[in-house]
Amino acid sequence: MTFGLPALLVAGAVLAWGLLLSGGRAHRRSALLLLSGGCAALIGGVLLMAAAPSDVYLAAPFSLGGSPFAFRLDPLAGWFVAVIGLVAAGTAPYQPGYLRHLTRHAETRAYWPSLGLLLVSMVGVVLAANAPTFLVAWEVMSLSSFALVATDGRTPAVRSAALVYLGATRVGTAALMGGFLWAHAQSGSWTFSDWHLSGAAALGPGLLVLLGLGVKAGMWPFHLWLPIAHPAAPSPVSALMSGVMVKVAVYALVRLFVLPAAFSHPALGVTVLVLGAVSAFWGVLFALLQDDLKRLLAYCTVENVGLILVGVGLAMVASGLGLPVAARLALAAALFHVLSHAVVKALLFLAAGAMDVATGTRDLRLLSGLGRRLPTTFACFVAGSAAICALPPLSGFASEWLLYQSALGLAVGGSAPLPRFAAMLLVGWIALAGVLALACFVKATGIAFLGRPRSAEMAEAVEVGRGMRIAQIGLAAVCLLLGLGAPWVLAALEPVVAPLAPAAAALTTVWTLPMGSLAAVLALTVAAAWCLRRTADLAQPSRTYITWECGFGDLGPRMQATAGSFAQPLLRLFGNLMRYAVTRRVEGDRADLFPRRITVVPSTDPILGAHVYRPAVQFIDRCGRWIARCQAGSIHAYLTAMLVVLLLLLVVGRMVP
Amino acid sequence: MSETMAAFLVLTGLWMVGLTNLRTKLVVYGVQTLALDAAAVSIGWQHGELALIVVGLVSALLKGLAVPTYLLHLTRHIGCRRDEGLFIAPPLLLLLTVGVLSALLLLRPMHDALRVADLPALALLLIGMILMISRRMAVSQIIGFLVLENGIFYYTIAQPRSMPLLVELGVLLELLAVAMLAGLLAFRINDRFEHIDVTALDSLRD
Repeated sequence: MTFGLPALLVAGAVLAWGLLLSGGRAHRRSALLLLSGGCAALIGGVLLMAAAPSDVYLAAPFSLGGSPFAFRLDPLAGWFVAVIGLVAAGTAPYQPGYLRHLTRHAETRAYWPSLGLLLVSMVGVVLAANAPTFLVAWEVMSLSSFALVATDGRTPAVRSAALVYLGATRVGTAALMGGFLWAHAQSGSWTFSDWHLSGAAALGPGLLVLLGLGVKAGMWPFHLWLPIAHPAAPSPVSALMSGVMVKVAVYALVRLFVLPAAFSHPALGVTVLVLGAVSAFWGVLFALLQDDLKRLLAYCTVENVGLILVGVGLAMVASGLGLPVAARLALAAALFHVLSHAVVKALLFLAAGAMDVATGTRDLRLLSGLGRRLPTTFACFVAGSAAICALPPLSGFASEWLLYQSALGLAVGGSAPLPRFAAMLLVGWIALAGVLALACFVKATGIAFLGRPRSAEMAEAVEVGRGMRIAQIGLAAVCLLLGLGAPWVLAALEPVVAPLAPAAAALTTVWTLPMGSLAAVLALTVAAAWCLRRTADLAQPSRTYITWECGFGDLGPRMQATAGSFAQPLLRLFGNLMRYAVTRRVEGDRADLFPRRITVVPSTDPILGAHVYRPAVQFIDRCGRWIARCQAGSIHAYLTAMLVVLLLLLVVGRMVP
Repeated sequence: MSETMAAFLVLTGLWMVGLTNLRTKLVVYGVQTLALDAAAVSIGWQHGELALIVVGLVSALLKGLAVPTYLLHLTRHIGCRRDEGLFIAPPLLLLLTVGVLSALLLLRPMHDALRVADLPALALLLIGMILMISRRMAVSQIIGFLVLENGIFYYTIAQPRSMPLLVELGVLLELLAVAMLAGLLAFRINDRFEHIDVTALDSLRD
């Protein structure tokens, strides 16, 4: 066992985050610990990517029913440790300011300990080498994040959201546990690297594990907890959960299905691909519908997880088809998107939190005209929106460009006609999701920041404190750097994806865009535009006037486009999927000529929630009530039940050899 | 462990199932426990295992003497002597129990997980549960629980490799605490409700 510098750094990060358990209300000190731990994890993770894999076992007394606490430090784990560290460090400066705001209406004493546990357990999940270690870390991760979602537990909505999240994690863990037990029964080992199930033997455990991970990742149709839990959680927590925690599930997916494939069956790859594609479209469509900014971002996470899953699914399918080079590119795209989306989504959630702090609301029906009042948040939100819509030269562009490349590569380079056709369709599908994402973020940015303030709160909003701004600027800068430095990121990814196709040409050869010249063109364009503006200003002084006034005089801020009206055309297009309907009622004596009052109420009926999950929950509830009736309170009844079960077990135990 | 001893233990257990007098039952329980502890000591002596001897002696002191004495004192204090049973009259229950145990024997040789030598332990365990289920008075529940524990103790000493001394002593202490606590609870229940009939205690559910 070699305990090199990377392992030491990761251990240091875990120690720093572990110290958060004593966080209490010392916000500044805790933020510093978070930051230092994040930096250590980032550097340690990056070093791990270049180092040879090594295994770490805890000594004998720390064992989990026959298998030790085992950790494996390899390039793939390094990549995710680095992502965790990056986002943790990125949100650190933001925390004290936000917590000061949060303390006014919520109890924050458990905040830092839960956050520390969450980060440590995420590192634990990523490094775990066997199933018991993984499950322990996974459970700590689920429970600590539940505690974080429930931070503002005095609000009934937050309480119910936290319970929904807890329920989702229970279902996920149960499925995961079942899958692991099944895999253990078939392979006789708890260690991930010993699992090489293929064919029909892989299908059952593989699907169960996929279900468990899908619930955590927010894969369609198990994504429903995301838009409920994220708005309820404090913003930095949403940033961590959405940016990193759902990616931890993606990590497990890559670890168990791709690198190396513990479960290999053609149906598994296709399942991941199809569900990923549906998630991408479904997520962004519902994001477009939302009025709550954080709900919108949560649905957008569903979309991006879908895109990542498309990449992972492509890698699985391509491996199955015997196209290792295409598989490697698809996996690299998925991993790059993991990083890119982690940073961008953290940035967007922090910006949403800043708007919440400044105005007291996240409702897009109320937010308006904040651009002048919150210039830094505005700039950072625009940067994040551009990145998440995959506009160059930001990070989202780089990762999605790779995703297109890998899908096109499969379409052009594959052999069988059906996969080629499907890959072609997939390109169009991803593009559709991309366009809808653009519309969605034009809506979010435009409605919240542009135009005129609709209320006094908006007009008097004050920019948030320095720490909160620094965090946003830092993450926005990372977005830009990741976009511009895409070839270097790819070079760093090389050892991670190398096991798929060891002999293939370097990944960087795929990146055919001339980054230097493009950056120069961009810089020149910006400079030229600025110069033109200056000369125009000098020639004729500009006049600031009401937007969209058209010579009628003051139109009033209520006449601006709203979030609902902006999204309406697109929603009508896909209205059947969510039963989108707009009810318009006009009141007045001669309503057609002299309307006194016009009400327009858009309504939706989310199919999945209303027609699948609610009946299921109601059924379980009814069963629960029925069982509760058996709770007669009679001691003899309980004892008899125990005796009957004991006898049954004895009989069954003797019948089954 | 001799077969005579095993038969004695199971038969005393069955006797308890048929008894309605609480105080006789407590005495029989005490005799059974003392016999079991004697067996433990003798096995320890034969195999030169100090741990088993110590556990047997401590168990005889606590479970064989202290607990029955305390419970006898309790029944005298509360003034409850008989426990007629619930639904099924004790003689019929005795027959049923014998039936269940015979059925268990018929199910026998399947695999090595449960050896023939462990069957009496299982029988004692089931007898303990049946004792708990079939009676009304809280003291009977305590006795049933103690008989069940005797079954577990029998199982441990019948094993080729016994439990560590420390664990065994810990279990004993815990058992003593449970018996005392349950006795105290029964006492309090009697104080409050003027009876210790647990069938009447079903109104506490929500």
